[in-house]
This record gives sequence, structure tokens and C-alpha cells, in this order.
Amino acid sequence: MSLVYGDDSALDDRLEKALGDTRLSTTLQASRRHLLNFRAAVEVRHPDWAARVDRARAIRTSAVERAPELLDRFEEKVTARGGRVIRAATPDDAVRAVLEIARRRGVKVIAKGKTMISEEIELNHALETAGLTPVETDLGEWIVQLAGERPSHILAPVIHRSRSQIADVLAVHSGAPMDDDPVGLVTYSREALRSVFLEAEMGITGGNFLVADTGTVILLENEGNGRLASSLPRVHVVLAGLERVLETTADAAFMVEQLTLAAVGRELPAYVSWLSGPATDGDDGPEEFVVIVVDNGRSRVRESDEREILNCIRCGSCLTVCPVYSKVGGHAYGSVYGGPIGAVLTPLLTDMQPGLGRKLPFLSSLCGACTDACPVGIPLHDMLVRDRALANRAGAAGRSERAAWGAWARAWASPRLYRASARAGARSGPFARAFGPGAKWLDGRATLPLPSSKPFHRRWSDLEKGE
Amino acid sequence: MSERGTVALMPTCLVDLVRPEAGVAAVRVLRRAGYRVTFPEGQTCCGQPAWNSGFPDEARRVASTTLDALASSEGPIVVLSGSCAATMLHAWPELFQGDPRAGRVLERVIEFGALLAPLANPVPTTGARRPVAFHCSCHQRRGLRDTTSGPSLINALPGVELVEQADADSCCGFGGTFAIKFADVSTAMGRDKVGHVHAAGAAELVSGDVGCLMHLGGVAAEQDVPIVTTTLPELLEREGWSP
Repeated sequence: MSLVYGDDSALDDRLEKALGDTRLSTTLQASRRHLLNFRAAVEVRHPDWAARVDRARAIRTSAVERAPELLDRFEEKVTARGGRVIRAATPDDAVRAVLEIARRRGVKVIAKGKTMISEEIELNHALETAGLTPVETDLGEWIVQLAGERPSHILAPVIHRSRSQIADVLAVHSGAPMDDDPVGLVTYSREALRSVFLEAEMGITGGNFLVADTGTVILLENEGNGRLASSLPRVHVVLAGLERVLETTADAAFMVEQLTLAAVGRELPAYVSWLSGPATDGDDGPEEFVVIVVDNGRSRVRESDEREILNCIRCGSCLTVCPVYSKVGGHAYGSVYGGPIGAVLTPLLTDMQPGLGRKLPFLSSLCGACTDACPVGIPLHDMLVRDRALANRAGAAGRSERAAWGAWARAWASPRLYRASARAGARSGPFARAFGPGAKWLDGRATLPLPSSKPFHRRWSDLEKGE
Repeated sequence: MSERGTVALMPTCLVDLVRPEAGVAAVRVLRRAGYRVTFPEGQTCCGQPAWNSGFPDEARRVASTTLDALASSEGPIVVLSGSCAATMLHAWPELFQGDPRAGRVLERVIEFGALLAPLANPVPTTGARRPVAFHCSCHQRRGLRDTTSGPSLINALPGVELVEQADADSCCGFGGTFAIKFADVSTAMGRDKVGHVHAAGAAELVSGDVGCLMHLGGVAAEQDVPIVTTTLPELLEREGWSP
């Protein structure tokens, strides 16, 4: 199950370990405050923010609804310009398609731009196994790759490491000690990666949007590595989820701005590439242009009541603002997609299969900060609640939990039994503390939230008399 | 004595069972404000614990008992929790699709602070006042879109001073069964909140939601941080507020 890399039974251990890392929490809290601050500034510059979110939601809802038709149109346009579109139903299909192109063209070194789909299909592992050398060229992704880790945030993959921890990784790469001066670290990385761009026979990048009307792949980035990876090597392969599709260039222009405003608080990133096929007539650019459109569970989600989650444009805001994510970081989730989007999406893409996916929807306090931050208006915390119900129905709740809720419902659906349970609860407080499901939460608390010996409903008659 | 009309009190299960003093205080404050208070017989719980845990059928079963009780009441339904009021307004239309009573009840639902805030007048600063912090629950903030009612009522009290805490908009970590399923994460979030309240110089934390308060009160005690938790009705009663 490539969407999930963490051990299901070790979720609590990962959370505990993350909670012990105070530097991680400090960094993530600062990042959270930073996002909230620049978002407030965005809403000042764009006082119509709520209307923008509604428009973005409408654009994405329509595109996801019509995805099959729009993808056909996209394919037609790409093909007409000499490019190729490959539909990959599974991660294996996608990996095979990449390997086939690499073999045919005798590729050895691959310059990779940032793509979460690549994580989803575990492409680097497959490429290395096949004897190829994929090199991540996004700075954060490169450090993550050198460290043998996974990205811990959709947008800021190495946010879990401090400057000095990054210097440690680069010191191993360079074979010499490095201090944690950011300029030095970036200069070193830039020089090391420059040779990769020149050497690579294949570039692999993601695609933020696929424009159906024109057959264009839109790639947003801030480092210029995506532009190099998509133009210098002889082959450019784009990996994109099938939900990335949009209909018109007008829709795309709006969504580019919306995504960038949400992610970094600016109208445009440093680089916006509109890629529409291989180079023609000796222009700069790749000889071969292939877009691999990955399904991996998306079509099934698209046909379900939970299709709105496919509206997500991967801005990463919901992770950054989430109070749970900002306490434990991305790795604790053990899923390629962490935070609220991951907690909703992972179980849906994996069809509520047993394991970690079913647990993730419960890893949220349902505070709704994610929903407020979403630039396409996905009601993430409502979807978490629905995911919980779906997970329970699929078997996430064991027999005893289902029985407990059933018993609770029977009792509290009756005013008489509700009052009886209040009397019993007041008597059984210490027992509940020692053995109840809340024991761990109650443990060590001096003021216990135990049922009162005289609940309000037994005080009412006196109050009524005192009127 | 009841020049403002009749209200129906919904203390919620948490106030009823864990903090009945908040219900008693609410009755006294509402009366002082000129309302006649009724307590609709037979209400239990809005269903939120089961709803948020992914058991919608169980939530409906319990909530329908409360719906029955509220349907025959009169006047605004004053809910002593932003969280429960938000659950009713957001989940009940789905739980009771096609039941016209639900719509009529929900039109009357209002959180305690939101009912009284329009009657609050800010008082001029005089002398030494007891510093208090206010915690706006996430469901009050994002479900009801109301961050001002609690603070404007506190600002109407001459004896206390509302102090600003860092990260006031972040979750306390309670989250109902989240606190049980992921106790360590929940407690870590609570420690941050308690730390911010303490750093703001407040020895008293006020909220309209007992759920958040019992979580934070427990965390404060565990951390030996001297913070008492007070519900908004209790504060208003103690400080002798009237419009």
C-alpha cells in the first residue's frame, strides 16, 4: 500500500516520539503563525477572498465531475502537438511506464522536480532498483532524499529538520564539515545540483494543473529546478493525479493565483511554466514529452459521495494550520499525505482497507482550522467526520466500541435511563478513572471531570420554586 | 420580572452532569436579565459525542429525544455550549432530514453568550481588576462564527479585566473522544494553551464551553499551573452582571 509507509500499530509510538521533539513543535508552530499572518494580509489585499474560495470551489467541482471528458480533450491536444498521455490505473502501471521510457532512451540519471505522486507510487525506489539514478532537485526534497527520509509536508518537505540538521546531511554528501549558514548550504546544493541538470537524460516533474482546452501542463515552483528539469533533458515526464485537470486557461490562470495565495501569500510563485508538448523546430525543450495520468483509487473516490476531496490543489495550508499536525509533524501520520488532507484522503484512496488509513480520520480534534484555511472550500473537518463513519462501518470500530455506543444510545435516548446513568456515573467515578476508556486522559489529573452528585436536572425543581 | 420573554434552557449533558453550577448560574443570570426561564423536560444530549466519533445512527437516536423535548418548548433555546449549539445547527439538518420540527427548533437555537452579548455595555476601567483570559471554543469560533460575545460580556464586568493570550485561536486539544483516543497529543495541545493563558498573567480562564474547560482545568492541575476555570454564566453571576 504505497500511500501508507508507516506501521499501523506504531502510530502511537510515532506520535509519542514526535511529541518529545520540542524543536519540531516550535518550528511548526512558527510556521503556523507565519501562514495565519500572511493569510490575513492576503484577505486585506483580496477582500473578496470568500467569493474567490466559492469560485475556486465551483471550478474544481465542475472539473472533477467532468474529469473523464476533460482528460480525453487534454490527451487529444497533447497528442496533436506530438506529446503523449499515458493513463496509469495503479502505481505499478505508472512505474512501468516510466521505466519503459527510461530503458528505451538509455537513461541513467534523472532530474526530478517535486511531485507527491512520485512518493505515492514509490518511484525513486523502483528507479534505483532498476539501476537508475533519480536525483531530487527541489532543495527540500533533495535533502530528504539524501537523508533517506520522506517529505513531512506537501510543500515544505524538510520542515522537520533544523538548519544544523540539514548541514549534517549535506556534510555527509560533501565529505567535509559544513556550518549551518543558509547561504553556504544553498550555494553548495545549487552547485551540486547544477551538474545533475546537465547530465540528466530524463526530467520528471509533477503538474499542478492539466488544462484540457489547450493540452497544457502548468508547473508552479520557486527554485527554477522544475523549469530546468522540464527543459534541459531530452525527455520530460510529467506525473499527475487525474484530478489535476481544469477546463480552460481562464480557470487555470485563476487557480494558479489561488493556489499561490494560499500556499505562500503571494499572487504568483517565482516560476510558472505552461508546458504544452515537446520542442518543435529546434526550439529549447525536450524531444519527448509524456504525461502520466495516475488514478490509484481516484476514480472510485470520484464516483463516491466523498468526491469533493479530489478538489484539493495541494497547497499544504491545512497541514500548516492544523494544531495536531503542528504538534506532531508529517512523519507521525505515516502516510504520504499527512495532516487533515491526508487524514481524509488516505483512507478514501485506499478504500477503507484495514490498517493505518482507517485510523487517520480520528487523528483530529475537529477544530475546523483546516476548513477555514482551504482555498477551494473543502469542508475538511466535516469530511473527517464522514470518514470516521465510513471507517467504523468498514470495521475500524471493534465489537466492544460498537456495543458501547449502542448501549449509550439506548440509555440516553430515554430521559429516565439518562437520569439513571447520571446516578450510576456519579457513584462509579473512581472505577471509571481506573478502568474506563478515558483512563489515560484522566490519569494524573487532580481535578477530575467526574459526574456531579447532584446534576442540574435534580436542582431544577428548587430553582423553579425560587423564581 | 420577565419583560424580555421566555427562554428554554438547554444546559447540555456536560453542564447537567459535570458542571451543574454553570446551569444554576445561567438560570440566575438569565432571570436577572429579565427572562423567564424554562427547562424543557426530557432533554438529554445533542448527540455530538457519537456524531463526531462516526456513529451517526446512535447520534440520531439520542438527539431525537432532545429534539422531542425542545420541540414543545417556547422562545429562544439557550444552549450552554458553543460546541453543542454548532453541532445542532450543522449536524441536525442531516440527522433529521425531512423532519420539519428540526428546522423550527434550530431557528430558535442560540448560544448563551450570543443571547446576552447585545445587552452588554462596556464599563470604564477603574482600579485594580482581576485578570481573566477567555477561551473561545473552536466550534463557537468556526461553527457559529462568534468570537465576540464572550469578550463583550467580560468587558461589561467592572471587577475583571480581559487579558490577551498568544495563539488564542488555536484548539485546546479536547475534541471529545479525540482526547481519549489520542490522549498524549490532546494533552500536549492543552499544555500549550494553559501555558499561553498563564503567560498572559491570568489566574482564571473563562469559556462558554465546559468541554474545553474540564480538559484545560485538568491539564493545568497536572502541570501545577495556578489557573481556575470558570464558565461564562458562573463569571457573570459571580460578578453580579445585569444589563
